[in-house]
Amino acid sequence: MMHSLFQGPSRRPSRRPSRRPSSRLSGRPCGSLSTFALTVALAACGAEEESIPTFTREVAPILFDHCVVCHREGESAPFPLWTFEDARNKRRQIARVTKRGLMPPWLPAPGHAPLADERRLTETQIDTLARWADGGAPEGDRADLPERPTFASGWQRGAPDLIVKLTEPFEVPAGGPDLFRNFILEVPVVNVRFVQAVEIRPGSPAAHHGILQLDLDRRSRSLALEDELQGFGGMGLGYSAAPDGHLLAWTPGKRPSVAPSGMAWHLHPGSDFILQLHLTPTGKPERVQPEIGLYFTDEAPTTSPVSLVLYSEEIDIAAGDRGFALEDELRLPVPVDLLGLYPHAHYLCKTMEAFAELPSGESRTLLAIETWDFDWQDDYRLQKPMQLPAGTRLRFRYLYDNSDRNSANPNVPPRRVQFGQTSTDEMGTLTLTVVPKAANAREHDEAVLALDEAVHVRAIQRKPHDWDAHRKLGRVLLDKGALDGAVSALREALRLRPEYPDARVDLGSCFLATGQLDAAQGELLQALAAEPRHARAHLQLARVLAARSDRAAAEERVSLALQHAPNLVEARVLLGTLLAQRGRAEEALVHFERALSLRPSAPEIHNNVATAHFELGHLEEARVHYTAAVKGNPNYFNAWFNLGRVQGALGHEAESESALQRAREINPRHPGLR
Amino acid sequence: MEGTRCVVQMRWALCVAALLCLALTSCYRSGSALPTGESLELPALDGAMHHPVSQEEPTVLIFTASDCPVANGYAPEIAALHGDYADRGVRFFLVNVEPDAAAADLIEHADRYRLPRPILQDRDHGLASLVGAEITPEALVIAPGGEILYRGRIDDQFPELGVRRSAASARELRDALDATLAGRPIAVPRTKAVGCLIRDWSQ
Repeated sequence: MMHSLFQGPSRRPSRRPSRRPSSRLSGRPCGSLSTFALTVALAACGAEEESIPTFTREVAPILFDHCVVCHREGESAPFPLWTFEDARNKRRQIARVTKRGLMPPWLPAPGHAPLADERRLTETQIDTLARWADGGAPEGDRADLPERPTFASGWQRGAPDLIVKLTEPFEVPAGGPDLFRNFILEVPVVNVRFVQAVEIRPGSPAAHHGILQLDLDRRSRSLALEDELQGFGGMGLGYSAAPDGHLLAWTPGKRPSVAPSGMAWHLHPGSDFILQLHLTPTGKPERVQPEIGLYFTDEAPTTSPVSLVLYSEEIDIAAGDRGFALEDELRLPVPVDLLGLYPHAHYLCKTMEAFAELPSGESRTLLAIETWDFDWQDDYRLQKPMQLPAGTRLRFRYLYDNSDRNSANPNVPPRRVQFGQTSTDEMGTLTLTVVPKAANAREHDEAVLALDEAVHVRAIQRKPHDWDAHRKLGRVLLDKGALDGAVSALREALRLRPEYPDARVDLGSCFLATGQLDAAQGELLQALAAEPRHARAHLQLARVLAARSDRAAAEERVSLALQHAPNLVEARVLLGTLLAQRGRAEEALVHFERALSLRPSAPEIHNNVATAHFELGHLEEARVHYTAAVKGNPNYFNAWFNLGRVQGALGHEAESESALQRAREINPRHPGLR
Repeated sequence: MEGTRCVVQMRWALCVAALLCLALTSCYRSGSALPTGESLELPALDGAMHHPVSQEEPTVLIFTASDCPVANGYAPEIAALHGDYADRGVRFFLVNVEPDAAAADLIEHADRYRLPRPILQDRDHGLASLVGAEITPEALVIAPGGEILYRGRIDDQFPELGVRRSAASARELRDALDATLAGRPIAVPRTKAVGCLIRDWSQ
C-alpha cells in the first residue's frame, strides 16, 4: 500500500494497530518470568514483532483473491466470506482449514512444474489468518478495505456466444451417498463451430467435480433410456470422448478452459454433450440444472491435443495394507508438448507422484500430491507447455492406505479392495494432455498414430488378454498401412473374443485393402449379423461393392451407414465420391462440404471439395481448397497436380507451372505430366 | 484496547481461561448433574420457553448453526433420529448458537432442511458453555434430573474435517439413546464432534 510522505495529520493512522519496534517489547512483562517461561516468552515475543492483522488491511485481500470466487452468494460454497461479519463468524474455522490445507482446495505440492491458476495460500498468508483469529479478529479501518472483486453476470468471461442448459433440473436427495450422474445436453448448433473457451456452471452447492465430453453419434441416449433417473449413473461417460482431445473439467472456483491459439475444438451438429457431475448431498434436497457457456472463434484449428492415459488395473489391496503402491509408465515415440495432467484415484489413495524421465537421464517431477482427496480431484494445466523429446519415459507412482487410519476409507472396518469403477473400488490413472510436434496436418496425423500405437502396445503389455487393446492396435496399424501387423492383432482380438463386430469390421477392412474382396465381404457380413446397425460395417461393405463396380449397391449401403451415423466422415466422402463418379457434382459437393465441416483440416477432403467445385466450374473455390490440401499435406501429388490445372484454367501461368513442378518432384513418372 | 500485545500475556490469559473451563466443565462431566432452575430456560423459535433438563425424561440436545455445512449435512439424520426417538419418551431439542440470527430466518432455514422442532436459541452460548459443547453439530444425552450421559458426534459419517463418508458405520448417539432407554450403561459416553467451532460466533 502506498502512502504519501507528506500526508497531513490524520486520525486514521492512530487507530490502526501500529507496528512497534521490537526493542519496545523487551521491556514487557516477559522479563519477570522463570527461565523456562522466559525462553518461550522471548520466542513468542519475537514472533509477535508484528501487530495483529486487521480484516480490512490484511485479511480481506486474501479472501477476495482466493476465497470469494466460491464463497459468495449464489456460488458453490456453503457460506459467504464477503463481509467482515461473514469472516469474523468463521475466524477460527478459517484459520484451522487453511492451516490444514483443506482450503482453498488445491492438492499439488509446490516446487514442481509451475501450474496455471494455482490456488495455494502462502505460509505468510496462512499465518496472517491465524494471527487475526487469535488476536480477536479486529475489523480495522474501513478506509483500508480494498475494492471487492466483480464477477460479471455470473459468467467469468462475460456473456457466452451460446448457453446450453439442462432442460429439466435433477434433484439430489438431502442425504445418502455421493452420486456420479451423467447428464445429456443436446448440442443446438446447425453448422460446425470452433470453440475457444467453455465455462461449466453446475449451479449447485452439491456439485464437487464435473467433466464435459462430446457424444458425436448420440449413442449415450440409449443408456439414459435404461436409467430411471435423468441421464445415466456411474463414472463412465457413456459413448462420449474428450472433444478433439481437450480435457474439459470443472471444480468449484476453477477458471474456464480456454484453448490455446490454433487449438479450438469442433462442436458438431447432431451431437450431445455428456456432463458428468460428482454430487454430494448437502442436507436438503438440491436442484441441479447445469449450464454450459460456449465462446466461439472463427479461427479454424490447426492442431489438436491428444490424451495419453497411464493406468493400471493391477489393484488388489488387502484390508489394513497401508503402503500399496501402483505404478505405470509409457515411452513417448515422438516429441510432444505437455499441456496438462489429470490424476485420478478414489478414497484409498494417499500420495501421488508423476515423473518425466528424459533420454538425457534427467528426471523431472511433473506433479506431487502429498495428501490426495478424491472429493477435490482436479486437472492441472501447466503455466507453459513443457517440451518432452521422443524416448521420454512418463511414469506415475501412487500409494494407497486401506487401513482404518485412513479416515476417508469408505469401508469400516476395512475390507479387501480391487480395481473397479465405483467409488468404493479403486482406480489409478494419469491422463496427460499433449500436442505432438508437427509441421503440418499430415505429420500431426502420423504422430497421433504413433502415440496411439504406443498406448495400445503398452495396454497389451499390461494385460495380454485385453481384446479391446488388440483390436485398437489392429485399427491403428491398418490406418498406418501396416497390414500384416493389423491382421495378426485383429485375429488375436477375435481369438480372445469371437463375437466382436468391431474387430471383424477392421479385419474385413484389412482384406479390402489387400484386394481380398470375398474374404472382406465375409467378415463384414458376419459383423452385421451380430450388429445390424454397425455403421462402419455398412461403410466398408459399400467400399467392397464399389471395388466390384457395383455402384448402385454401394450407394445404397453407404446411405445406410449415414442413416445410423450421420457424422461418419468417411461415409460422407464415399457417398460424395460415388455421386461425383456418376456426374452428380452438385450433390457430391454437399456431402464433401459436410465432411469438411466435421474435419476441417483434412487434406483429402479439401481435395474432394476442390474437385467438385472444379467440375462445377467454380475455379476460385477449387483453387482455395486445393491450396488448403497441399498446405495440410505438402507431398500430396493429386492436390498439386489439380492445383496446377486450376491455376492454368484461371490464367495464372506462373503459379500453374510451379504447382505442376512440385507435382513432378513428388512423382516424376506420372503420365498426366507428359 | 491496544492493538499490539505480547503473546505471553495472551497465552497466560488463555491458560487461566482453559483452567477455568476445565474447572467448570468438570462439574458437569458424565456422572454429574446440570442445574434444573429456571435460569437455564431458553426460548424456541416460536417464542415458547423450554428447559433443557427434565425430571422425568431423557433429553437430546444437538447444537447447530444454519451456515455450518457439517451441521446442515446432518439434517436428514437429525430428522430420522427425531422420528425414531421422539415418541419413545425422549425430549429432543436443536440448539442454535448464532447470536445475531433472526428467528424468521432460522425458521425458513429449518423448513428448507426439514429440521424437527423445537429449535432453541442459545444466543450468548450460556447453555453451550455450561454443558461444554464446542462444535456444531455436537450432541448430548441428558438423563432425567440433569446428568450428562453422552457428549460428542452424532455418528462417524464425517470422521474428520473435510471427510464425508457415503454412510456412517458407528452411530454413537443412537447407541447412547438405545442404552439409556434400556437402562443400560452407555458403552462410549464421549466422542469427538466434527464440524464448526461454536466459539467463532462469540465476539
